[in-house]
Amino acid sequence: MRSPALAIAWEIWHRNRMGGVASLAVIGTAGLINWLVRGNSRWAGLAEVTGYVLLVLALFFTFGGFHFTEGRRKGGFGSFPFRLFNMPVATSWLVAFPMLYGSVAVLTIYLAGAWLIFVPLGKALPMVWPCLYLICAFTQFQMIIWSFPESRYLKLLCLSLAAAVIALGWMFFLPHIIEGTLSELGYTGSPALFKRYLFIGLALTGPAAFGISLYRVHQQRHGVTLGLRHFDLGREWISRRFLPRSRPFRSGTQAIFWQEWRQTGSILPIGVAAILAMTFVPTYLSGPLTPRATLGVLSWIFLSPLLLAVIIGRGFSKPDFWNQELNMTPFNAIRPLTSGQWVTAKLKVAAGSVLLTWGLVLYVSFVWTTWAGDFEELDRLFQQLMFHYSAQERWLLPVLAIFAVLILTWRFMVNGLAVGLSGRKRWYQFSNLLTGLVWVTLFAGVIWRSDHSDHNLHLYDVWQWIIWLPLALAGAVIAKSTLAAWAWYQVDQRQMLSRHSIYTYFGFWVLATGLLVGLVVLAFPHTVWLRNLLILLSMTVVPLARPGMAMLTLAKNRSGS
Amino acid sequence: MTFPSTSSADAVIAVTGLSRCFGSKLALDEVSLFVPRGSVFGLVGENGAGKTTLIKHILGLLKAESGSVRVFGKNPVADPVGVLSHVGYLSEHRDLPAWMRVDQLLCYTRAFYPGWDPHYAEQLREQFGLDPAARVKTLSQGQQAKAGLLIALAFRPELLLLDEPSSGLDPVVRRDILEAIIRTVADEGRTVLFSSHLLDEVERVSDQLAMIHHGRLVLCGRLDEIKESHRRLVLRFDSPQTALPSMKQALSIRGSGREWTVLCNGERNALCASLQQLGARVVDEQIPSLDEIFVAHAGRKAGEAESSTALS
Repeated sequence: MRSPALAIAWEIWHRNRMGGVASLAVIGTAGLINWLVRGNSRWAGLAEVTGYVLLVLALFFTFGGFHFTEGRRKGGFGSFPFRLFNMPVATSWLVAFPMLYGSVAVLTIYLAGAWLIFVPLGKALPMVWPCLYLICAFTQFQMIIWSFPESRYLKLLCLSLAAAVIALGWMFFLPHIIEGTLSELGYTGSPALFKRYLFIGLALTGPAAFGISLYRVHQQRHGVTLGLRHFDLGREWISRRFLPRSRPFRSGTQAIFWQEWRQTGSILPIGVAAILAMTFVPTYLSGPLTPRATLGVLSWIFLSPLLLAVIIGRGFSKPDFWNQELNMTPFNAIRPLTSGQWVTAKLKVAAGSVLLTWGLVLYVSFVWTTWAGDFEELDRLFQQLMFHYSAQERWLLPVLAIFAVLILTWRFMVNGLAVGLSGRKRWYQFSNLLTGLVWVTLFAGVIWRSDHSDHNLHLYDVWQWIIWLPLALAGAVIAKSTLAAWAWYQVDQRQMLSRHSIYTYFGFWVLATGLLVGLVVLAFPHTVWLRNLLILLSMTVVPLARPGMAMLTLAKNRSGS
Repeated sequence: MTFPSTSSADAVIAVTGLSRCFGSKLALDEVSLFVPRGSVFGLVGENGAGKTTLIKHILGLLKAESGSVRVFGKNPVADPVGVLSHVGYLSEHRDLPAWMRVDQLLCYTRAFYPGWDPHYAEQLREQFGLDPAARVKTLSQGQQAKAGLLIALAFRPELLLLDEPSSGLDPVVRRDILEAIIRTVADEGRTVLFSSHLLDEVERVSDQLAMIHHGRLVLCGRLDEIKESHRRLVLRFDSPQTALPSMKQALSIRGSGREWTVLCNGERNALCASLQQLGARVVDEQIPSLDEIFVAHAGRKAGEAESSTALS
């Protein structure tokens, strides 16, 4: 290695070479397929959606691969690698090289996707603003993860805010948004001027991110910590005031519940609270909203716990949310508790977290709507409800719907436990990839559909697919039941959980599934095929096999096998 | 290799024919040992010898690939609760939760062990000088070691497993507190197994010893018997020697000219006969230190490994 620049490049490459090659290979293969099927209008729509999905996934991977951080023993996760501070290299270079390499990698992926995937489809993606936008996003990402090694919550909060801004910000570069939505938002200047400001802003973010990162990494190199004394004191006060631990725990299970809760229980509520604040404060300050905007904001708010649960659930499924390692630490592994008791504690913490989150969402939404919202659209919905359903059903449906979203959020939180607790990194990465693929496909489908809203989608267009759905769902229910029977039998045989607890969980499953089925029956009393389809779907929602599987995989993880 | 040892019936820990591979590396190779109740058992070996791997098997944190591990007669993988309820463990890596305060750590750990003695815990906390309001992440390495030791001891476990307990502790704490604690535990009829690099410490504290080298048990037994079975012989020749021929009874041979030192194990008489044939006289004979025995065994095995590699 002849220079530090090469050494750092080699390190990043060596860590991510498999994923990097795989990303480029996937983009190349998709491009080849698109080139082969070019001109075939039947496949063009599907190929376009798939192209977006692959491109977004490859970009996600590149962000993940080029973060250039390392966990530290004494708390915190992912900070600038301290070992490099001992090297005779200027801090400016230590910061500049990873930032430069990451930016180049992100650009390479985007340009490769634009050329290889979309050009054969006859679609020319814009070049200048996405490249600038991606560099901006990447440098902000690195700046945040390098700048707050002292507080993981602050880092997570800043990352969430930045991710929300970045996820929405790109829309302001689209011509119809600039020309249409800006005026609705009250902007009276010319769209061209607005776009120019955006470009100037983007051009400045890279150097600004470099400057801030340099300042913070320089401070870390010389042992200067961020002045978070008041923040720490506040947190300490909250911890002592609301989470005192002066009396002993009644049992080991109560102790691990407390530990899990302290570590992960508040992440979802805090994340949702941040979204609530980001959404409600500006809308409250901007004055009363239109009826449509009220409905839009409420829809976004009710959707956010579900979306966040999908993301946070990936970390929650690991033995330690804040640790990149998937192996159970010896400190926890040597406690005389069964793996069943550990998993039960996790399930309970997830349930508590979901209840707190939805309590917060419902309460704040109610208060906000009364202060700043317009009830016209909501009233129209209620009128429709009155028209279709009886008085009892009108009350029962919202209650069951709230229960359904609680269950769904909880499911997203605990979905990956069996894989995350197994300690197998490859399984975990594959599971994350699969989850990402499903969600990105869903979003790409929704975006594509909204772009082609002029084309009416008739039921008979998709009927050939719908007739297979009952069979697929029935197969899923049978597979789930079989796997559940096997897993819980093993749990019982190995005495990981008492019979009483197993029966209690099974009772909960029956009750929860019954209520979901009840919701479906009430909501769709006349459309039989849809009702039956959704009943089958309801039977797959509440986890049945997964908790048992999680207990078995955790037991294997504990014994290093 | 087998050693005369306690029968498995008296043993708190019984390891039989245990082997473990990590990839292509053989971490443990047919290890068999029995740790008798009430003993202080020292486990020595160089870095990467397999000490921590063996301890992890005893805790059930690794499943035996071949062979068996029994602690209190139970399989620690199949019955973790039955075994771990009686085992106090201090990890080499001091992996305590960084975010907990010391008082929370004690409160938390207490929940798992019905036999937790709060007075003893408080006494140890004061003895170690740990501030109950301090967060674990703000503690020094030595203080973290003390906190780890405290929670391993406070429920008076029947078996105490200490993985490199001295690491990070200053000499005063190491000598006055750790060793006193270990002796107290043993005097109460409980069992201690600890691994260490510090052979003088092992020599002072333990009454049983096992030496692991490249995953193999090269020495195991009572400390006094081990020391008694080794001898350091000082030889004198009538004429200067450039080298001595290798002898299978000798663990190490050092020296030059007329005076040479040989460390031997067990087969003293056979060795003396061989030496006499070479024209050497034994002018001095001493019991070697544990340090010398360890170096001789490790050096011999390394030499064997090198020669076997060269042959292959």
